[in-house]
Amino acid sequence: MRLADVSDQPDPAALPSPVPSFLEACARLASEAAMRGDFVRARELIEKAARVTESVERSSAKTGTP
Amino acid sequence: MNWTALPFSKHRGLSLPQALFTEPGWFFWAFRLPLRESLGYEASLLYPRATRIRVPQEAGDQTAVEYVLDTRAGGLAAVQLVPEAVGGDGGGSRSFTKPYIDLSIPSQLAPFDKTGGRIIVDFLKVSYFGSTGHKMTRERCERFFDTSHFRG
Repeated sequence: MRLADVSDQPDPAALPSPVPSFLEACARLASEAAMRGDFVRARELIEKAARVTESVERSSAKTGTP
Repeated sequence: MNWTALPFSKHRGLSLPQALFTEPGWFFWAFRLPLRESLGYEASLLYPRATRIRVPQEAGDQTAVEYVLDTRAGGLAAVQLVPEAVGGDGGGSRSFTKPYIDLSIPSQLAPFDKTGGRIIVDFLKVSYFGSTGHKMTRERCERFFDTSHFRG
């Protein structure tokens, strides 16, 4: 039996970013919350998505990655 | 109805219907204040009207209002009419629908969303008057909220 070594692990940089799916989920949940009239929840989710977007953009600007 | 001129605030001199067309977010913020006498009464009349405005008949009976979220900046990105059949499933992944125009939605999504306020007022003006450039005089604003554009 061979033990897994570090070289077997996927390169984190090559993994797809979870950010788009997260933002999509926030948007979907926020629209569902607003649909049922729960605007407090909708606002929380929108603010969360906006914070993540801002943070990703800031980090991209620093590293120069798209 | 004789609407009172606001004796205070940045909208001093305007009536509440004018303030609603000028900056709906301000009205919904002020509604939570203990407004006195005639202003309190007028605000309590306006609130249910401003939050349940009927889609004009010309748009067809089968029409819902779709509110598109701005998940980038927060708040409201757009408002549009959609067939009720589309609205029935709750809208798209970034939107939701209601069978009426609710001027409070931008401020409910983001308390100081002036852009969202402008978007929904423009939508209302296009829906009822055909253009965002329609000049909303004091008389027009008051007449709008005096007449029966509202869902029960």
